[in-house]
Amino acid sequence: MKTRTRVLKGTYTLAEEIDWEAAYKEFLPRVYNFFYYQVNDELLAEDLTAVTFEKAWRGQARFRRDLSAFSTWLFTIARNVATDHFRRKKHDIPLEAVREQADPVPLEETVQRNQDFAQLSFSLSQLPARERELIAFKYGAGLNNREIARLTRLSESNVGTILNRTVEKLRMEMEVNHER
Amino acid sequence: MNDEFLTKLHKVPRPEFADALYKRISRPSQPGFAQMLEQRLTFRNSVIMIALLFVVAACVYAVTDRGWRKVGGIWVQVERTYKLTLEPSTPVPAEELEAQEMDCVTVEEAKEILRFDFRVPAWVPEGFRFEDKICGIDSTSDFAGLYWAGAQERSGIQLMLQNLKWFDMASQEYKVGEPTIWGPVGQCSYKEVQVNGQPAVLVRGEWDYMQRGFAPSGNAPQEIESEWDSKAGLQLHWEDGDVMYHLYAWQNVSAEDLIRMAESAR
Repeated sequence: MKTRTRVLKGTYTLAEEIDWEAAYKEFLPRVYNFFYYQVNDELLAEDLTAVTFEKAWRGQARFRRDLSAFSTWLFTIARNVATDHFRRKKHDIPLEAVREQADPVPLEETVQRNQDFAQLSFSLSQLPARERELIAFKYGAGLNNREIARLTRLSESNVGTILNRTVEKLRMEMEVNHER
Repeated sequence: MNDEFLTKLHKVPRPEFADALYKRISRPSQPGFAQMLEQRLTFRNSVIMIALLFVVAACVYAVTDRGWRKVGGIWVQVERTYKLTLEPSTPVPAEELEAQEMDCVTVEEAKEILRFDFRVPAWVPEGFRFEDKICGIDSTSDFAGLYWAGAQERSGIQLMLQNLKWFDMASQEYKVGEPTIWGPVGQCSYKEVQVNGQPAVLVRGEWDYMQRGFAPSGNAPQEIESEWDSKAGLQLHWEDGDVMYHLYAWQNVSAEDLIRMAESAR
């Protein structure tokens, strides 16, 4: 993300700092996938992404670059949006949700891929909230362990350990599913 | 960590969604009141706000500042305007004027005549000359006036003495009256100062009828309403030994000089 920094009497003003267009291009898919990995619903992920960016846009004056990186700030908002959503809806990932594939692929491959998605979605939905969130941060938003640690207030090694264990669990479930 | 399978869920947001959202959020935002306050609450703005609050408070005080006030133990009557009535006068023949001229005595003689003791300032700002005469007094007088002439007209300094002690016939005792400034003063024109460590009242300005020079017309009394002119002079009022001192200066005298003059009284 490109930022133009300017010191104004000891404080930063975000409106003049952030290249908002560049930030949007970089973070839109990451925020979107952060939600998509948790709700597995495109429209809902879009809604939550929109809420996150609108909050960020409205609250840009509160962002203090000297206190946090833009990504940390933005994903803190996203995390709060997700928390609000799950608290309100107690949302369940629909098992029947199967992604539409835009690119033409052979029928067998499509069926297999759809089954994989469905299985992965199901496995994700069975994870405890904290593990599901860490997976969403790591694989949906593409954050590294240090960034996730900062957001979740876990230690970096703790994040690494939980992610390793969770990924292993998911991988084994996927393998068992393939063998069936 | 073999985690490639986890990236399979990755999805690109629909372009129409991305475009629509960007258009929505990149509109100039309408900040809320709290946000606006947060953005604008800089040190400079805070100072300006506090100064404005003082100005507003001063304005409110100026509007409501009326009636009797006790300043440093001295009563001050505060008014927005001063209404007075000019009575029609008839011309006095010259011979009668001569007969009406008052007898004047020196300060030393006045101290022998008057029933109260008083002090005379020993220091006076440069350019003023003491006229060693007190006119129109006798042994029953409770008032006396001293004057220092200035170089220009209406530029002198006047000191009025007022005996606060009076005899109460009913109780057959001497009593001391409340120290009071003569006549009302304008709103926000007064402040407490010190003369030889004792409280005094400094007043800036006077009613403008003195400058406007009203002359009665016709045979009927004339009602006039005078405004306070805060640049028209200085007054200093203080009490010393049951005597009230009222010092008036109209031009070329600073408040510091007036206080210094008062403190030199002995």
